[in-house]
Amino acid sequence: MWNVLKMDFYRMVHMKSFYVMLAVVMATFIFSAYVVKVAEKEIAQVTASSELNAGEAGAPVGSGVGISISNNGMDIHNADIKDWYSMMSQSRTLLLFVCIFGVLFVTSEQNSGFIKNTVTQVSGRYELILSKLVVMASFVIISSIVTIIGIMISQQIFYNGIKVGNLASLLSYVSVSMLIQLAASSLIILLTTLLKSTAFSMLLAVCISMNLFSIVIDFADSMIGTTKLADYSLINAFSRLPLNYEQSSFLKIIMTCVVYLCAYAGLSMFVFHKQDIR
Amino acid sequence: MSEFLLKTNGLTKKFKEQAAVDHVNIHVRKGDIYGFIGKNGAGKTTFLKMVSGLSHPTSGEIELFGYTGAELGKVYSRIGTLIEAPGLYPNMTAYENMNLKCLGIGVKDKSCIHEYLTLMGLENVKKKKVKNFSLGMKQRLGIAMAMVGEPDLLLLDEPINGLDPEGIAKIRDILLRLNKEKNMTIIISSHILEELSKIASMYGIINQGHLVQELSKEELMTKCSERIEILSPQTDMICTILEEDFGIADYKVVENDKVYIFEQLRKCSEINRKLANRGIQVNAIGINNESLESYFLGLTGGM
Repeated sequence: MWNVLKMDFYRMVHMKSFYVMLAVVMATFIFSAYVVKVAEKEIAQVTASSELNAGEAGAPVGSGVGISISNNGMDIHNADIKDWYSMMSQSRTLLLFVCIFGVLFVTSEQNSGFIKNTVTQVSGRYELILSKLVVMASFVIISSIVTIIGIMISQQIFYNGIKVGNLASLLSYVSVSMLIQLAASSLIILLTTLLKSTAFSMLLAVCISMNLFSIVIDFADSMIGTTKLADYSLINAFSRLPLNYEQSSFLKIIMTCVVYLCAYAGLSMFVFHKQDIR
Repeated sequence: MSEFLLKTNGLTKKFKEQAAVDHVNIHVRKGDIYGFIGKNGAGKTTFLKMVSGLSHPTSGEIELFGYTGAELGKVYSRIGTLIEAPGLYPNMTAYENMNLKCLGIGVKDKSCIHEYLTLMGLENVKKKKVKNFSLGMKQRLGIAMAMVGEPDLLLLDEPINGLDPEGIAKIRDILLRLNKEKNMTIIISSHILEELSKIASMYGIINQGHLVQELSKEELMTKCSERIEILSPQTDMICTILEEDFGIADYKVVENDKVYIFEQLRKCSEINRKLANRGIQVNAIGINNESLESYFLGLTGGM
C-alpha cells in the first residue's frame, strides 16, 4: 500500500494539471474578489442614483466569475477568511476544480495503459482505489490552503488588510467543507472506474459540481412529499453548512459525508476488483 | 511442488457467448522460453491477460508458482508483463516512467533503471518524453519496464512489433541472456515463427481459442526438418536394416507405419534398393521437409 501511495504521489507532483489547477484556483479567487470590489462600487452608484438602500438585508453583495454569490447581511469590508471561503465553497467553484483534477488523475492511468504495470503488483486492487482517495484528499487540502492564501492576498490588496477572524471556527468550517469535497471525489473515482471514459466522466463531474442533478432530487422530493431528500444530498451540503458553528448541523453533514465516502469507495473497490483491465 | 512453473487446466474466457480462449491447457517449466504461436485473433493476448491477472477467466484453473485460485494474488508480483501496447505515461520521460514502476513495486535501488535503459539502447533518451518516442522505442521501453523487479516469469505479448531487424536481434540476445544467466522463464507470443524458432524451447500453438498442439523444440524440428520418409508396415525390419547395413542411428518411427531418417539423406536410393532386395514392403519413400510456416498453416488451417 505504501508503495502505491508513493507512486501516486510521485505522479501527482509530476502532472502539469496539478499545478495548473492550483494556479487557476488562486487566480479565480483573486479575480472574483476583484470583481466583487468593482461590482460593489457600481452597486453603490446605482443605489445612490435610484435611492435604493444597499444596506437592506437580502440585497446581493456582488458577483464572482459568472457565479452569483449572495450572503445576506454580510458586510464585505469586514468579511473574514471564513466568510470568503464559504462564498467560494457555496458557489462550488472549488469543488469543480477538485472534480476536474480527479477525473484527469484517475483516467490518465487508464488511458495511458500504465495501470497494466501496477494492477497485478499490488496485493489487492482495492489498494489502488484507496491510494487515489488519499491523493485526492491531499489535493483537497492543498487547494483549500491555496484558496486561503488567495483570500489573504485579495484581502491585503483590495480590502485593507487580512482579517483572520475566529481561527477555531475557520478550521472547523474548512475541515467540513474539505470532507464534502473528498466525499465528492470518491464519487468521481467511482464514475471514472465505471465509465472508463474521460469525456463522460468530465461531463458528469461538471454536472455534479454545478448541482445540476438537484432538479432530479427536487422532483423526487415533490413526489415523495414527506421526506426531504435534498437534506441528504452531498452537493447541497455546501449550502447547508452554517457559517457559525452549530454542532448538530456539522455532525449531520459529517455523517452524511462519511456515509457517502464509504459507500462510493466501497463500490469503486468492488467494481474495480471485478473488472477486466483493457 | 509442481514440476511446472505455470500450468493451466481448461482455461476459458468468454465474451458474451464467444469463447476467445477455450479450454486451454499449457505447461511451462521453470527456465523454459515458451513460444506461444497463433495468428491474429487466435486468443494469445486474452490468454496472457488471464495468466498475468489482468483479466478474470470465465472458467478453468491457473496454477502459477504452485499457487491456485485466490492465492494467485500472492505471486502476480513475480511476473513482468508487456501485454498489447506498452503502458507508458506520454508526458513523462522514459526515466520517470521507469521510476514510477520502481516506486509502485518497491524497488529501492534505482541503478536498475539505468541498467535496463542501457540494455535496451535507450540510455541517451531517458530524459525524453515518451510521446516523442517512435513505436520501436516505446516497445523497448515496455520491455525494460517488464524487467523491473527481476521477475521470475516474463510475459511478452508480441514484443518485437515495430522493431527493426537490428532491434529484433538485440531483443533476442537479451532474452536468451536473461534466460541463461538468471534462469528467467519467458513466455513470448508471436505470429512470426521464424523469430520464435530462434529462441523458444517449447511451443504452444493456438488457433481460434484452442490449443492445437504443445511441443518441444526438438519435436518441432523433428516434424519440420529434412528427412527421408519411408511409409511401410514393416518398420521393425526397416530399423534393423538401417542400423546394421547403413549404421544409421538418427531415425524415428512415427505412427507405427512411418520411419523418418535424419542422416545420410543422399543414400535414399540405396536404402530403397536394399529394402526392396530384402523383400520389405515399401509403400512410399522420398526426401521431404516442411517449413515451420507450412507446418503451422497445416495445423491452423491457413491465414
